[in-house]
Amino acid sequence: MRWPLALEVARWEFLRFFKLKDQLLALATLLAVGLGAYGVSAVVKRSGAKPLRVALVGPGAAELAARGGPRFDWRLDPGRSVEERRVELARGALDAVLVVEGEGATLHVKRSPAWRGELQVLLDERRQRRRLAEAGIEYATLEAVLSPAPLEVVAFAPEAAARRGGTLAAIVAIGMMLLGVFIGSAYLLVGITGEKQLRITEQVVAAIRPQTWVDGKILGLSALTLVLLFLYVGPPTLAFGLLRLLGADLPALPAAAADPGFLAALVVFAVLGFLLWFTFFAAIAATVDDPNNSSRGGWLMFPLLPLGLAFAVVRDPDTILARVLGLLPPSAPAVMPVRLLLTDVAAWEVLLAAALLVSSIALLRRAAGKVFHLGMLMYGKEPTWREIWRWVREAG
Amino acid sequence: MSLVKQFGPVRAVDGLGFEVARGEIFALLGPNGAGKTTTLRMLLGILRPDRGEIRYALDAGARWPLASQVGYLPEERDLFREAPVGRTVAYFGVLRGLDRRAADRAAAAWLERVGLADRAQERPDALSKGNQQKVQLAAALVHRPALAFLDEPFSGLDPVNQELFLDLLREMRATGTTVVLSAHQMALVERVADRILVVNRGRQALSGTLPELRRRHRVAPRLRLLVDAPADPAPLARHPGVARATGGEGGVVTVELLDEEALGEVLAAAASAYRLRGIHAEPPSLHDIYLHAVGADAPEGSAP
Repeated sequence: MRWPLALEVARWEFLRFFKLKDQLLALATLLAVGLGAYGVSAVVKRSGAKPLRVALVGPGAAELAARGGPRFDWRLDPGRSVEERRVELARGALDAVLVVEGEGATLHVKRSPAWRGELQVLLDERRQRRRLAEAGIEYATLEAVLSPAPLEVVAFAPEAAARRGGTLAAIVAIGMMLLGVFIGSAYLLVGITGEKQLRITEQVVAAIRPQTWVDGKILGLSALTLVLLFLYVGPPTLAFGLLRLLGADLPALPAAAADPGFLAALVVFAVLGFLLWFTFFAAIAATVDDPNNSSRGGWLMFPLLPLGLAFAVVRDPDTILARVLGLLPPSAPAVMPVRLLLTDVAAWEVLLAAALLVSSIALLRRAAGKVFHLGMLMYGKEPTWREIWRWVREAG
Repeated sequence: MSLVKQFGPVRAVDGLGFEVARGEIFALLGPNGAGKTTTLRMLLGILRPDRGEIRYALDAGARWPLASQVGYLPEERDLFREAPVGRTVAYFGVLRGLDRRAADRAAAAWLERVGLADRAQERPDALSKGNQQKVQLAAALVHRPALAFLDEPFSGLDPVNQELFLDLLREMRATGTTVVLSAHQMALVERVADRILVVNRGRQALSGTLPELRRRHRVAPRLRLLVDAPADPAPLARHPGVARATGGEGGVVTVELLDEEALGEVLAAAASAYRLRGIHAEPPSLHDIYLHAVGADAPEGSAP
């Protein structure tokens, strides 16, 4: 009889925080900002791609004019002096005046340009050519000396090789997990401390068991977090695909991101991760008396460490450390999906990681229920860590 | 049952034992810190007594009432700020065992009963404090419990809403609900309670129906003597059978007797001191009995 009630609580908690109108508005804003940012960057890119009008003056001008490619629109007129060119620069007819003398050059501009590095490369190359010519060495010879030795890679496992393009998807997956944990934890902290401050606690505890209450809260907020993540990630992903179809210059989504097996594993590990971390946070939040003056809100940052370790796994998902982190419950929700994306993972590892997560949630649930029960009815002060530990032992 | 509950060095309830009959309104009275709320919390199972036992006479050998049989209005109470009040009342109905549709119907009926049917879609912040209390009462009783625990149900209510709450209590009694309430408002309690338990420092100070208390705790009546004005109350104040005599300027001398036995002597003294035009004898109110029993022993800052 307790689980139907827990589901009623879950429904209440979900609807309490899920305001469809507000969420759609936030989503529309997010999409508008994203499209706006894309538009601005496209405009900037287009304007940045316009060739730079640079007047070349001095004895080395002709030699440099042979290089530079489409980026630089060299204006070469030996009849015009530096002063005349500077007048044109001031008028806006030029972007810069470059006086090339000896091995170096002097650049006249209105303000220090962002493309200075590109010009520096051209000047370096010119100097290298001059020095090599003086030494009687062909420039092509130097290029051959400096070029890397050929290395052909033959992948032993073609499927794994195909997944290597999933680094971007792995980072997105970790980001979603972290975002989800933070969203849900924030709702838990706000909801639970709010109820404590409003003194709603007793009305509810008198009606249902605290364990049922906290179970319902965790289920409801896990569902809320999944829906919000879907809302935050789904439409932007669709928009991304749509823009690509319309010919926008955007990178291709990795094929692994659309693999149903991976998506199922991602959802399962995300849900288990949310349940684990939200159970932990529900207990912490119940011990907070006043969220404005409590240091325990800082525990929201705690999952950064185990879940953030998944970023290190992206670089090499096959080390012993990566395999261990993929099994340990605090880090598995982020690390295991990353490993599934980037390498071949044995089925027993996936099952063991899921089983360990489920067992940890079951153990933590009992302890959190006890802490939640006593913490929720404690007003005016926060229990010490020693008291909390005593409650946890009593729950065992 | 003789309940005992200790919080650190403070013994909040110290050997309290009482019985509540089915279908009666049973009032717990006492100063702040007397142990009333702790007692209610133990009766509800929110707190476990350190010693003593709570027994419910339930059907089919059940030892503890089901959530659906109990309603609770805590002293410290509020409503979910994010939800319309109608949904909150229905939610508490669901938590107490109603199915969702029945809870919605019951919530609507309760809000209608307390005059808030047209405010069901509003959030608590849009309601006055008194209206919020009515919603809280509706949330506590939406499932029509057999046993209702109401902790300070009258606090913060204006006289009109106090009357509404009294009517609701009478209606509950009429439909067979057992009500255990704690309150400070003696005048209201004595109008509705079938039996009263006065608690002080965690122990029983008085117990019984109001007539029983009047009989058992012989608080002498108060006399109002109508005399020619102005009158000096001093001759009666000096009388050995009088606790206090006041007034006189307006033609009314109020006399508090030390003992009912002294009534004849005091009236004789009054007749010789004044020209008596009338005599009114007021029976001791619950307030008088309470003060008589608890007043001298009440902790500092307690409210009668």
